[in-house]
Formats: sequence, C-alpha cells, structure tokens
Amino acid sequence: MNFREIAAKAGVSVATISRVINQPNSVLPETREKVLCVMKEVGYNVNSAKGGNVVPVNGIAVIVPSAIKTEYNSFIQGIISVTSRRNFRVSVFYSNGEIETERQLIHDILNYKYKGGIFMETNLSNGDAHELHLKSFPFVLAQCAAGNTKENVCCINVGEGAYLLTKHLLELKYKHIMLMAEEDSAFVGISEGCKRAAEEAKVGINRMSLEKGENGFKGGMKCAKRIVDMPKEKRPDAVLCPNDLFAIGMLRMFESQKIQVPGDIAVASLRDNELGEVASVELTRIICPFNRLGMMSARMLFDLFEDEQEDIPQEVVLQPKLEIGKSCGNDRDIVAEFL
Amino acid sequence: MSIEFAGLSLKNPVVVAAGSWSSNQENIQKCIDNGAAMVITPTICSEPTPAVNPEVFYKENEVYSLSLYSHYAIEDWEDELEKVEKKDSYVFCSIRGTTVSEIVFLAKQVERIGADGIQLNLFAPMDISLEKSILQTEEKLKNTVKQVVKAVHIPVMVRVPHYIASNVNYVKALNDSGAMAISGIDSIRGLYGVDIEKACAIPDAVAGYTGSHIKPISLAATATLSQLTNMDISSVGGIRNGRDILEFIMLGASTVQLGSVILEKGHAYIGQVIEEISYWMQERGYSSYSEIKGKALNTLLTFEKMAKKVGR
Ligand SMILES: Cc1cc2nc3c(=O)[nH]c(=O)nc-3n(C[C@H](O)[C@H](O)[C@H](O)COP(=O)(O)O)c2cc1C
Repeated sequence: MNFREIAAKAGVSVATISRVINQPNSVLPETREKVLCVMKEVGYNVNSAKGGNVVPVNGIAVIVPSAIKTEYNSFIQGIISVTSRRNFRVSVFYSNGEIETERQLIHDILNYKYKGGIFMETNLSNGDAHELHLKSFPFVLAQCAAGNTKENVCCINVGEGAYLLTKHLLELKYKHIMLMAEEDSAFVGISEGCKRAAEEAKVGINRMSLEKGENGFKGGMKCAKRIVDMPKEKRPDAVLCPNDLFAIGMLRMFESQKIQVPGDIAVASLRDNELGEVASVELTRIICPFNRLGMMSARMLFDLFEDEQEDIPQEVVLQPKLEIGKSCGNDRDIVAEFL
Repeated sequence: MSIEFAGLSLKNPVVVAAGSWSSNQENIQKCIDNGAAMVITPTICSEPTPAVNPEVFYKENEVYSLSLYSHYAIEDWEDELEKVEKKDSYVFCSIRGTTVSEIVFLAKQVERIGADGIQLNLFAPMDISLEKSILQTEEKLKNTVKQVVKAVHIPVMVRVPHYIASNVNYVKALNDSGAMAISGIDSIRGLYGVDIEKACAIPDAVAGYTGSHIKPISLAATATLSQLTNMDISSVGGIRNGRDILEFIMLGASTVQLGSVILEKGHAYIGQVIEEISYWMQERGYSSYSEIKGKALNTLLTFEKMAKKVGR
C-alpha cells in the first residue's frame, strides 16, 4: 500500500503521512495515532519506506560546479528553503566542473549514506546516472545538458531566454548581434535559442567564443576591448553577454573608451544576478529563476522519497523572463509583458 | 439545500474567492466557520510572491488589486492546511506556473498537501505572459489543462477572464480538456487614472480592477458560459450580497464567489449573505437551488429576437 492509499484510508493528506514518518512531532497526536493505526492495520513498515528511517541523518547532498557564480548560491538557497522545512540538512560539494571529480564525489556521497542528491550542471552521462539508479539512490539533475531523459530533471529553459532576448534585439532593429559564449553546459540551448530568433528574422548571428573562466567581470572588460579594437564596420551593434557581471565589465570598458551604451552598442545579458542591479546602465536581461530551480529540485527529490511506485522520470521546466532595462535602447516601458 | 459542484456535494453555493481574505489558515478557518461551502487559496506558485504595500488600492468604491499571488511557499501552505479544520467545507488551491510541466508539478504538490480541488490561474490581469506561450492557441490551452487533469485525482476548475468567456473556440477547448468547472471572471486590467499635475499614473502598475463595478461584465460572462459549456460554473467578480448571488445562479452559476467585499465587511459577512439567500429561497418556497439555476436565461434574447419582440 502506498502513501496515497494510506492517506485516503486515514482521511488525511499525503503530506501528513510523510510528516508522521519524518517529523512526527509536527502532527497533532490524534492524527498521528490515527495514521499509525492505519499503517499497522495494512501492514506498512515505516522503516521500509524509500529513504525512510534507515539512515540516522536526514541529509541531502548537492553538487555544484563552483562557488564562484552567484546563481549557484541562489540555487542552494532555494534548496535550503525547502529542506529546512522538513528537517533535512544539506551538504554542498564542488566538482569544479570536472567529470572525474564528480564521479568521486558521488562515490563518497553514496558511502556517507545521504538520503538523496541534487546535481547541478552535471557532466554525468546517462550511463553514469544509471549506475546510481542501480543502487536505488534518489537524485535529481538540475540544469543538465539536454538529452538526459532517463532521469528526474529540473531545469530553466535557457534556450527560450536566449530566444526572447535575441528576438527583442532584432525587433529593436539591431542587425549585427554578437553572442559571447563559452562552450559550457548551457551553450547548446543558448545558441539554438539565438539561432531560432535570427532565422525567424532572416539574419545571421556572430559569435565570439570565450575561454573557460572568461565569463566574469574581467572577461567582459577583455572582450569589450576586443570589440573596441575591431575596425568600425566590423563591430557588432549589439552584444549578448553570458551574464550580468560580464555585461558590467563590458560597460566599464566601453565607458572608458567613450563608446556609448546603447547609442553605439547595445549590451544585453542572458543570465541575471544581483550585481546586475548596480550596472551603470540599467541592463536588459533574462531573469533566470535559480532560487526557484533549487526549490523545485528539492521538492522533486522529496517526491522521490515518498513515491514508491512512480518510476517514470519527471521533467520540470521553468521559464525565464525578459526584463527590459535601458542598455538596448528600448524606450517603451512595459513591452516585456507582451513578449 | 446542497448542490453538486465539480463532482463534490456543497452545502450551499457560497464560495470564497482567491485573495488576501483567504491568505492563511486563520483566514480560511474564518471563512469556513462563517459557513462558506468552499474556500479558494490565493494563487500558489513555485516561489512565494513578494508582498507590496498597500496591496489594494481603493478609490470611490472601486477596488484595484496590486497583489499578485500568495506570499507563501508550498511548504508554508502545507503547514497552514494541516491546521485548517475543514468540517463540511472544501478547500481549493489556486495555482500558476510558467510552463506546463511546472503547473502539473504544482498541481500534484497541492493535492499532496490536501487540496480538495484546483483552480488553475492561467490568465492573470497583471501578468499575461502565459498567453504568449502555453495559452497561445486553443489547442495549447486544452493540452495544458488536460495534463493537469491527468496528473491529479481531484477536480480541476479553470479561471477565465471575460474575453475568454465569450471566445467560443477557447471555451470549446476547455469543454474537451477534462476540467470539471470553470470560474469567471478574472479581475480586469485597470488603471484608476493619471495625476495630470505630476503626469503620473495611478496606481503605478496596471492593477486588477474589481468590485461592484465589474458585476455587469461577470453577469454577461456567466450567461455566455451557460450557453457555451456544460461544465459547472463558479461566478466571480463584483458580487456584494445575497441578491447578487441569486442573480448569478439564475443565469446558470452553480456556485458564486465572494471576494473583496470580505475585505470591506469582514468574514462574518459571509454568514449574513448565506442567511440572506436561504431566507429568500425559503420565503419563495424553493427547496433546491437547481429550481432557480439558469431560470432567467430564456429571457435573454439575441438582438434580432429582441427587436422583433412586441412592444419594442
Ligand atoms: C487583494 C486581492 C488579492 C487577490 N489575490 C488573488 C490571487 O492570489 N489569485 C487569484 O486568482 N485571484 C486573486 N484575486 C482576485 C479575486 O479572486 C477575485 O477575482 C476578485 O477580487 C473579484 O471579485 P470581487 O469583485 O468579489 O472582489 C485577488 C483580489 C484582490 C482584491
């Protein structure tokens, strides 16, 4: 008998059943008794629940590539806001974006007997994840590269964000758009999104490739300098930056070189972060809900603890949002709503 | 005098709309204790929505809502609903997400925490972004609702704005979606005015315009929906008293929602309204709301028929 059936029999919600198992003190004594009675009646063994009380600590392991990007912090914060409500602790591990390190970490995580894991921007292939499955370890992949359909996945549709932003620039009549991108896990989605918008408008899009680690403030300064050094006729009239920090670096360099934003060149960001708020020109950017991504990933993981039967992997996709600032020359205030 | 609604048996037709008056356990309990047959939570999203102050802008009896959705996360709602003593009333959760998969996930989450049904909030007056994505066509709307219906074991009701209530293709799509009920109307995109000395808009964002002034629009929407669908109708928008409720039922509503009037008069007013309609029904010798449901519809004519009517 599963949670749903027990809940129906006891006349309570599924959430209450879960509470009786994981946080018995948060349930009214009468309700608790009633539920335990039903469980006994139907022969449900509390300790056999997937992720039930076999491990002494309610721990969840989270792997993120690095500690540098603020979006990882929002993501972890989102996870914590959910796990703390259910008395679960979170440990964060850093993979440095290297697959070997990731494998080692997962090996450790399994040994430490965490109840489940959330792996962000993982490099794991379907095969690796399969290995984890065999050990019946519940886990959720957040923001993984496309094609990982065998697992439980939660991701922000960065491709749609890239599409919205590119389309917006094209509607503002920019003709020479340049995408600044490194080939990270988001790259395929982003370049496809840009391409889709460009094809609809029957134009092309250039790309300046970034080295690994070149996507911060300094990288922005450096790439802006490269643009400044281009012959005028070769310069793009709009740039798509990987994130706000990079965009701020660009703004700084352009300002020092007396290049006007958006007059001479438009600057847009594909991924917001809090620092974007202090940019010298209010940025037009894509808001990527990383806090929400963390919350949803954690909820998906908890579902895996409760659902003994559901073996069909779930995929939850979150939609990013376009926020229109002043860095791309838009002079209408609420158009974002309609894009 | 119970009524059937979305497969449930309700003790009366009075439902409390989604809004700040149902924002937490305490408020929901007040609605139930004052006799509401059903209460709808404010819209629950994946992430809590920040609160703005003030949330409601009043101007000469008109109500402009600047509040978007619930300020609570699902985890908070789990705690709140755990404490609600439902008695013989029902609690529906209003939900909204940015993609079909997100909405489906939320639907399962609110079912998990004890919702008796779902009100899908897809067309919000202050955030029409979904109309460009998952609601762009009738087919997409139908698919969105269908996926939710398939994912849960509780009834699903879809909230529609006035312009969808009279859009035959969209209503047809909803008819085929598996939703049990339809509620309408949403509040309306509205601005109070402009301060012409300062050249500034009032309020400073497009608001959800509601209150008694929108009742004519909701009445027309209910009458239209009655003709276009067999789904149960839950009317909302501008309903102030028992008389209003009876009017909506006579145009085909099964249930009728009270909203901002509760802000003004307090939760006890719900009880007064229920008493008012039961008294009226008894006085007139009706024993069931089905006797008056849709009773005025056959007096509503097309323009052509109205023009031919003797005495016009
Ligand atoms: C303060 C306030 C908050 C509201 N919050 C929500 C909400 O979270 N979700 C929703 O679907 N409708 C919400 N609404 C709209 C109401 O459900 C209802 O449609 C509206 O108030 C119209 O009914 P009324 O004229 O009886 O007030 C809100 C309205 C107000 C005034």
